[in-house]
Amino acid sequence: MTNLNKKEPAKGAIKRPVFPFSAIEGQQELKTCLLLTAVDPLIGGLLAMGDRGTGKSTTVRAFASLLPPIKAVKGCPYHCDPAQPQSACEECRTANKLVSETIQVPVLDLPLGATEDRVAGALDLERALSRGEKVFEPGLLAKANRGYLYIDEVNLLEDHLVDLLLDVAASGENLFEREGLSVRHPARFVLIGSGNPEEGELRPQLLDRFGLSVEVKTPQDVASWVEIVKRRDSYERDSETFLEQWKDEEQKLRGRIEAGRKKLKDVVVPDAVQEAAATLCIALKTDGLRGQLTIIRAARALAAFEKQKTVALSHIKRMALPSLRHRLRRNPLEETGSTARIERAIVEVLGL
Amino acid sequence: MNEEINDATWIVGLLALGGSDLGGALVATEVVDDFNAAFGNATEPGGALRIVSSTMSAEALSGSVDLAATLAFGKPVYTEGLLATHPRLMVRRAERLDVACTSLLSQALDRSQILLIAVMDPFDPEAILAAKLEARLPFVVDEPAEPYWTSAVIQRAKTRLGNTAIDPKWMQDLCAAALAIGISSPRFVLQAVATARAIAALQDKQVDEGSVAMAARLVLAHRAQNAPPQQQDDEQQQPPPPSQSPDAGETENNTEQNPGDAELILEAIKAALPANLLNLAADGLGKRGAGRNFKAASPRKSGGQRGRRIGHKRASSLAGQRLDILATLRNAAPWQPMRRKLAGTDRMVVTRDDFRVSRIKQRNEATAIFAVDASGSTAFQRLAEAKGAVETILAECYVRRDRVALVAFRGKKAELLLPPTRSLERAKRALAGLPGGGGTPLASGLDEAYGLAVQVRRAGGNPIVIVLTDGKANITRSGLGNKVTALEETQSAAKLFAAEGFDAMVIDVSPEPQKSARALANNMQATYLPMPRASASDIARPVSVALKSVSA
Repeated sequence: MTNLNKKEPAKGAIKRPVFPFSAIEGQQELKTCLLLTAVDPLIGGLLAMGDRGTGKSTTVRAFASLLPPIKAVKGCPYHCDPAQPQSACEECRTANKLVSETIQVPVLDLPLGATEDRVAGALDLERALSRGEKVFEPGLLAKANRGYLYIDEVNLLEDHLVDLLLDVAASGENLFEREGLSVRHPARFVLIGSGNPEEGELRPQLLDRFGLSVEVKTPQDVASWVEIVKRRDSYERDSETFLEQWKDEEQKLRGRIEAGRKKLKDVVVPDAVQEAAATLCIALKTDGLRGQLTIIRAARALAAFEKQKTVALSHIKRMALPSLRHRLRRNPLEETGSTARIERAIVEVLGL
Repeated sequence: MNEEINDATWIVGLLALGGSDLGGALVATEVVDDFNAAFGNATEPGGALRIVSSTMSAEALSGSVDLAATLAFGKPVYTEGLLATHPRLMVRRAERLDVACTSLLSQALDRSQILLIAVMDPFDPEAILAAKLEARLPFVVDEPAEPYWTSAVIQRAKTRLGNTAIDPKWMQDLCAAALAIGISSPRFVLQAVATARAIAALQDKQVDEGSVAMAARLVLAHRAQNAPPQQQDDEQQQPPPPSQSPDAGETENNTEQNPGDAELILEAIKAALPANLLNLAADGLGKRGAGRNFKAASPRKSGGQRGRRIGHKRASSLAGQRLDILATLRNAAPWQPMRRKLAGTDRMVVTRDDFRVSRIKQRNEATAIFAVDASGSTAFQRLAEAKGAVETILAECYVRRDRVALVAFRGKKAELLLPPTRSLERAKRALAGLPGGGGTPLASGLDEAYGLAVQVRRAGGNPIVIVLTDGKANITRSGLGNKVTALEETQSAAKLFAAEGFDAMVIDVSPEPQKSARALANNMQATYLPMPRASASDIARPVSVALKSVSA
């Protein structure tokens, strides 16, 4: 296969290691939801909307370095899972022997204004020019397989890229049919989007693709600001020492993600809890079944993360807002925000 | 070292010292030469700024395939991007950077990878820097800097910078001061903290109240959204004249936890405030508030480089275009036996004549400009219905990714309530706050909508103007009540639309169809739609059909 690294010239030395996830002050809802997507990737992505400068991108980038490493087929551009040949790419499926290696979970930035070639892949220039061969050169979708794809300002993403993402998100595969090439490769990733709602809306189809959605706000009290500034300042002055101080916290959190993943399949969802979630969704008139599925998945992941054996109503209550907030049908004349409507419904339906 | 030097000169010293750790600055066009000279003086040879054009492609920043070399060597050759090769960049006419470059530059700034100087013309109302970049540049330079700092002084300060600590108490005070003047994010306090340390290092002392106050003035003051709370009492009056001594009676009205120091910082900020506050009053919105964001939010089209491919064409030069590899190779193939013989090689020989680039089709963005008559004659009857109709169309526009803008006219003049946006939230808010009553300055309303339509078209969009009125103009452009003149002016204003060939619609909101509204539609060569007891969705339907045809 082509050498992926060659395509990305060295982007200058990155001066500092990433700010540790556990040292991020506040942003509880965002942090919890990110962690849950790591416990159960099937929850289906996370949308974080909020004003500029609320630390959305910082949190997502910090999260990337927190994720426990995974095993992948060595040399495979899609980092296929050697233990799951049924979802691997064609080459890995047909290979006799797979050598595996441990890699960091891929977390890729999809910058606004990226070309379709960079995202979906393109004809391999090297082979085409030097040997006249038609070979596929994987794009961001391939590199993000089994990992995360992060789009800042997702609400400003160009339409043709949104279409591309929707296709891939629905099927978990990238079908590349262009330039006389026909390639199909796995592209299962967790989509993380962030943006400022004042600057534009998300297309409803894309909105629906996000499992969870979080409203990010900056705290408005002096004490939290001081804590943010203090931590950030000591990190910027001496990042080595700072990282050393937070190493244990990071390790503990990483351990909890791994423990949660193991526990996940054993967590029981009682019928009464299923019913309560359904009643809540019906009361809120959410579109389709995705809301109902997401709330159960998220509640189960939360229970696993908190070392519980069964999902309780309290888990449903806590995951109702992020799972449903973006799924309420919008009435242009309705002034009440989604958050308030859900909170009211929780009280009325669940009696909590 | 304590001679009086101006803020611009301080900023030059700080950037020469802090470099990419401080991010960069916005520099006004007319002082850029002074800035460059002073900055060059302060850095060692080779540390000068690399000036780049704002129309550069994203590949120029991130690096890409060097086509000529690739063809020459028969294997891929990559060029390094500016971000890697030139960590100190100056971008002229920075408001023209496209979204792709903006994203890359912000990412690089987040990683403290580059120092960025964005040069802009402060007198050009359309020169607005993408909010994303603007937030990452702590300083604004709008006065000439002097070549005060020498590279030797800066080098010495650099060795001190690592050991310059800041007392947590100052952080506390900076946070309190920032919150008091309505600063939106702790990011700016962090910039101020880093700046305070750099100032102290330049002064060869530890961080003290002087350096903290100056950092607040340089970094926080120009982002103030409101005056410090102490001024609330006299806020209704004019902003204080610049010369006013900032001490009179300010100790009583205190909301800060530790008044002494936070107030000291506020004083420093306040000294820099009056000019900005005057601007605030004049613009009606924060200089860096909502008004700035919308332009940053609308991604600029970049020469038809995005969208779907519909074919390919011969390319004389490749400047920024996408090479269609397959077509190029296909074109080169028949010549290979001959060329190989001529060149005496068995490699593939591709020449410039073979290059083919993709032709791109881009969906043209439609912008619906609503001109809503909120005068007394309309308001009493149909303003609510008109609002409802607009809201329904808004919801439709947002599904289809069209943009909307809102002009309202009532009383003596027309007003742009909402510049083109895709945000349903903002449109809803602007509409909800629209009061009714007063005369009908129809000509002014049409003028405003016309101006906006011209702007949209110039930016490459497709405007469609929707006027909701009963057509009964009775206020002239100058705001006087004179039906005859008002009618004449309305006619001439309407004919401008016909002359430009703008798509337009007049929705008659009076209970019975009015001749005046029909005449207006004729003059504009617009579609005329009476709204006789129609519901909001009845009006919305024809409009959405029209929008679809515009953006197809």
